[in-house]
Amino acid sequence: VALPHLVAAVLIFAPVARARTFDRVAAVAGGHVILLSEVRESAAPYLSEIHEKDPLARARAETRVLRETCERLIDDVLVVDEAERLHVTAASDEVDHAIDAIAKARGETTAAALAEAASQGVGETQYREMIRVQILRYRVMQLTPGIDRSKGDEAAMSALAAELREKVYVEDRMAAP
Amino acid sequence: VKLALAAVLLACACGRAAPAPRPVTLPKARGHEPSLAERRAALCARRDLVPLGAPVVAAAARPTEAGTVRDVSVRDAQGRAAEVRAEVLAPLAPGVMLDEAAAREVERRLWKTGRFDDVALETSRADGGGVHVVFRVEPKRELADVFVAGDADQGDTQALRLLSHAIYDPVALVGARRSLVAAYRAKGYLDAAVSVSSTFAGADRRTVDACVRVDRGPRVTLDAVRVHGSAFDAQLEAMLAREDTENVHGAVLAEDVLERDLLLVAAFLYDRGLLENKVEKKIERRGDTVSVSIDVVDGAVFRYGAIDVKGHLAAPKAEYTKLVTEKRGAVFNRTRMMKIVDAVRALQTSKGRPDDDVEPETNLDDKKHTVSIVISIKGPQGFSIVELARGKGRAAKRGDLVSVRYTGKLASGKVFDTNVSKAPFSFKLGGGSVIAGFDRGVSGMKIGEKRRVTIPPDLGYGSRAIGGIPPSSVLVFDIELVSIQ
Repeated sequence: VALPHLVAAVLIFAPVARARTFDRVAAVAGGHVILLSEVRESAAPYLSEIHEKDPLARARAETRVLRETCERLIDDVLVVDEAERLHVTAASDEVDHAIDAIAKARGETTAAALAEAASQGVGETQYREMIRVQILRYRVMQLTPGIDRSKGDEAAMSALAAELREKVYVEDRMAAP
Repeated sequence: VKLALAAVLLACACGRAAPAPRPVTLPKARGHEPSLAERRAALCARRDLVPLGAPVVAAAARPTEAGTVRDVSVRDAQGRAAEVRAEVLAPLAPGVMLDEAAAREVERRLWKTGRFDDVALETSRADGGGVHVVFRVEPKRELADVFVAGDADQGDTQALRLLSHAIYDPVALVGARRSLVAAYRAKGYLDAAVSVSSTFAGADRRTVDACVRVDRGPRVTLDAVRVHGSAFDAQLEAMLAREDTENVHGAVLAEDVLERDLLLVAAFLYDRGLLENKVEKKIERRGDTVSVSIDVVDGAVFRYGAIDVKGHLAAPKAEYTKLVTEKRGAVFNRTRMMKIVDAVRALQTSKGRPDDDVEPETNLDDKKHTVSIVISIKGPQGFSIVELARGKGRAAKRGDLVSVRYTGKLASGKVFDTNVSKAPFSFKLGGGSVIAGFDRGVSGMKIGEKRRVTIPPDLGYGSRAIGGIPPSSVLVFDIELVSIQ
């Protein structure tokens, strides 16, 4: 059955005032919920990079991005909670310095780096929040005993995420079955 | 086929719940319902918890619904209305445009009520325009039977708040499980493991059975605490035997007390001039016992270099010098030095400056093994006294009944109080009847003396607003001392 025919069938038999699910709980992380609308918003820059023509492959790629984004948001929430528990903060000027350093490392100005992020759908507020969480993550990592940093930051961050997930109830409703 | 599959995936674009997993199938002999023992055995063999909500299948396409909110309701899956307080729904009122941020806020508020396992937002077009908004909720489930396995007892189920007919709340459960493990470890069960599993109790999925399994493992007790590496090993062990009555042979190791023991060891060494000492603990487990080794490196003995008192002095220097009873060249002793610092603090207080910051600043010379000390006195930040006119006679001190004329101003120059054209104001100095900064400002004045005293908020009215004084104000007083009794 061709797609246009299926769509047409859906339109013909659709009730006039069909209820649509607009948003829902995508994950529970400790005392927090992560909403599907937040996952979509956060995934937008990565979704825009999917250029698959094949609808099935595209849908698969999108699902993967949404699932990964949901995982990341869970980890971010847990890091922020842990930072609060440890009284660890990231001041506004530290976020500024980090953004400047990232831009410098790429050989561009801070304004250009922010503009580039904006062009990918990441506004300045969202970008700053991402950097803030990343600073907190490094600080929490340093204060968490038993995190082995000798195998690189990536491995250490995974170990931290696993450790934080052990402490609270986590329910990722978007996870692959 | 690919296109058809794609169409199916696209139909999921609004984020609907995927079909929920089937209930756990308990071992069931043909022809009879599983017994309680069979249910218990099947459940307690599991390690997973019933999730709060169903998996979510979502595609990237974001549903868009624009229009004015016609009405907002909260309903369960069967369409029954759920009562919630009006303020929960307040961000999304009928008549306003449907707003994603406001809708999210309502979803969060519904979740925070603690009454629901799931919250979803549904919208539909209303006849005649506008949008119906329904928050579809899943009320929390109840616990049915609670089983115990291993070493678990009823006390454990109570600690986990797993009681029949209680709300099934895995969020609270995970936190309570951690606390229970910590409690077991504090009792010496260092290998204690606590697991909780749950499964649907009925086909309607509204109740949940739970099983608590505790494996305590052996109770581990302390063999001995030994000190190694110091010239004072025997004395240190004797001191710990006196001071630590908890970490003794046969008891469960109290780690917090052990941490205090390490501080006691370090303090002992500081009192013998061993300022670069290193104190570390090693806990070694052998079967059902642990032994603690406190490893010490003494380091060099330090002697006093120069000792001085500097800063915001409230009395002639000689009075402070008299308090410094330690001498250059003697072996440093932390306890005796802190007594000198306390004596300096007491002197400041007796001179009407109880809020001064008195701290020792040390400077170690690693080659000569000497330590120079400056006892630094700092007045409160922002407090200052400027003498405007000299007085005569003795200085006012704590306990005197003093009379003053004054004008109080804000930093802007605005006068908020004055008694210049009235009778002098009398109060007992240091008695706490005036703000601390005023007490401090008058202390040491002589009759006829005039001062301008600047008082920071923490010595004034703090964050309170008093009369015409805004919160957190810096106050400036011009004060003249009229009499001392």
